[in-house]
Amino acid sequence: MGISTSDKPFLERVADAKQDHFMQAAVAKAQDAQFIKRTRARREMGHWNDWRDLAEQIRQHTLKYLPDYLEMFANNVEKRGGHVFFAQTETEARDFIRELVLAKQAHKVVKSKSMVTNEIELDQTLTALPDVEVLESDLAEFILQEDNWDEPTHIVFPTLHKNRDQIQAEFKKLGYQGDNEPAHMARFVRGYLRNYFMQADFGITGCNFAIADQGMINLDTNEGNADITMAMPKTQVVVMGMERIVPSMKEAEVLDNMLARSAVGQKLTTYCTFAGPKVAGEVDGPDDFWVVILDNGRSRALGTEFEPILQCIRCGACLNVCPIYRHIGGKGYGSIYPGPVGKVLSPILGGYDQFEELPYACSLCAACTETCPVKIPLHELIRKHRIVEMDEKHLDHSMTNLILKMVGVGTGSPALFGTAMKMAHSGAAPFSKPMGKNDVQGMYEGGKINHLPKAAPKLVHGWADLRDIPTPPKSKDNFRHWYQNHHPIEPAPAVKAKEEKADD
Amino acid sequence: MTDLLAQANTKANREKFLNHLAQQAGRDRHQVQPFEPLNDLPDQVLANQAPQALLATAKQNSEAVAAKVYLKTSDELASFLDEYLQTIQAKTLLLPGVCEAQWEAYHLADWAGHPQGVTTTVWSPEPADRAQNAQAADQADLAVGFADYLIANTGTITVVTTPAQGRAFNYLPEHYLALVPQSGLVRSTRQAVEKYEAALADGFQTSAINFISGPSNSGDIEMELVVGVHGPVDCAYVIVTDR
Ligand code: SF4
Repeated sequence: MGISTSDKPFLERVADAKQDHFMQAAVAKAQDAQFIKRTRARREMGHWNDWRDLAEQIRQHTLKYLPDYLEMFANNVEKRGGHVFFAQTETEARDFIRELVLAKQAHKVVKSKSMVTNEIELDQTLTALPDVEVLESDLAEFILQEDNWDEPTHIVFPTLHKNRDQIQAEFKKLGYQGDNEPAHMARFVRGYLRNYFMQADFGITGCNFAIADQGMINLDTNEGNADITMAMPKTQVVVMGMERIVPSMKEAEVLDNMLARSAVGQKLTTYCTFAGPKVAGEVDGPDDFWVVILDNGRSRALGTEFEPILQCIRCGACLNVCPIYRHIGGKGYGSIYPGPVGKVLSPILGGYDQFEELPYACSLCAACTETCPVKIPLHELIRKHRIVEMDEKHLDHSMTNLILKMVGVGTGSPALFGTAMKMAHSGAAPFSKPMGKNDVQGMYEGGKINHLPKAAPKLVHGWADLRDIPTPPKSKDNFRHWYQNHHPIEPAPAVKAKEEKADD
Repeated sequence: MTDLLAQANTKANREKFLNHLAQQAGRDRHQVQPFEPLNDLPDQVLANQAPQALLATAKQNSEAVAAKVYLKTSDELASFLDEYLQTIQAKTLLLPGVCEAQWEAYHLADWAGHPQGVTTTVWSPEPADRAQNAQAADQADLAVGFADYLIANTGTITVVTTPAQGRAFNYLPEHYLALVPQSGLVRSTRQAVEKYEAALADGFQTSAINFISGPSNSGDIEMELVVGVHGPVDCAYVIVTDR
């Protein structure tokens, strides 16, 4: 399974998603609300595009020297008395942590939110051990766990698809007797988890950024659960994707600000912590501090045109602007990494066979690229996946079948395109005044027209052309003027060659 | 069972992994250059604000994250804290295990010796008292702790874990009140980070540096903001204006 969340074929998942009207409405509401919050927070920061340049530079610099920074980090963790294990595969990571739980004779494991632990199926592994209990402490993850480990639907708001009544029903099984008010339910969870925290003997956290020169990790949360997870148990394991590292606290601090603004429209998350193993003389925190650094397919992107996806700081902004995500929600993608980031990352981590449709579930509208705080050219990478897939598969019939299948999704879902058209403007309304150079909204409007390579069958063209117009002109704009400013992206050389061939 | 645990911190485990990365990337190892930022935006945050304006910004941004902000001189603190305890109807109080001189710096040595009307526990700096400290923090209605900096741009206070004021101290009590000297007012997260980096370079040791912006909260249920999830349900910054 790994990053896959479902055995169902893609089209079935999309069909399921279309039936889920609460989910669709919730996703739309979330996207619109986040648009306003995010835009406000970024505008308030000022010079947003220059901040993005800086963030991009930080991420690219770190990736360029990734082995060196990981080595520096590992040395510094060791100096602090911690232990580092480099895991090439998910199996290695999982087995390592299982051995550690057994060696520590831990019985009550508490976790704070971490997508990497989902990637390595850690929960299932540890709950299968005799006398080991595992509890997720992030409110959303806790809700998913209580609903029989339901799949998350968003990387920042995992329970977007659940309403308060469903959550109340889950909590009733745990003895909750109150109404469906979120505040009351959260209060119940506070008490429930606090009891557990007080007994927890093994803590597992993720890592927003590892600080190479200090050997500390940096974690951002709003609930404070990660901090309590690092305070109470005597053993802590940090599980991190190998790319989640920066040179020093300074670079982490820049990204923390950008992450909070991009993810939830806050200036900083409520708790932003730099932590390591307990220092001699301190009373609490982990005596035993372990870091598991995971590759699990990430290195396949290194040195290739897909390397920029490793810049990702998991802010979820690209999901929040994606018209396809709006339509099919997180579960439609069948990967723990949904939305635009998932369309690029899932085929790299999980392989094209498993996720061949994902690069096609995209209108190439470029809204993701324009919102990404670390400037990952998401839609271009999605297009590159298509090119790779075509190269790999065009000799047999599977490619034609795949394209036909996806045309079915497209033509069968006119709403999908309608939403793409409307979105950029409805959410933007409060900010649609003329903007200066550094304005976020101005940036969002720099939409591009892309074209599928002409080598693709004619049938696709009618559909693709429809999808490829991202931001229609505002009625007050002069169409000719708008058109002049929207040039198609220069196709990649490989595509050009194909086009020329097709034209012959 | 293979002994994976024994592979942690070994050269073999590390080198195999890192060499593989270098090979995949097609870039040699040990070429790292210092990071030279292409702009100085982090240094420019609120750089144009004079101290008084900065204080007003700090207050506004702190209130925007639902922190309560009070400005007091050290002479006013003792009676203010008594009132505060009454207002929130605290029955149990947790104090850091710092020396008397540190309290006295805020004119609070007498107050901290005998807070009125509450059952008071002092955080024990003895590692053996871990469980007892955790219990006290869990049961405390209010913790009154020391913070280092107040960050104007984000409405954030910063605290570090020390033997006298541990992690549970800052996260478990129901209400949290931080005393922060006005001299600790900084513009940005960048400024605070620089100060901590300098202290660490000077040999200061801590296992956790916390940037805290208001009370714990969550939007996980239908994206409705709920205040007070795992950490404190309420958070006050008392800016000590003559310190
Ligand atoms: S790809 Fe960019 S926008 Fe999407 S989650 Fe990652 S950092 Fe955020």
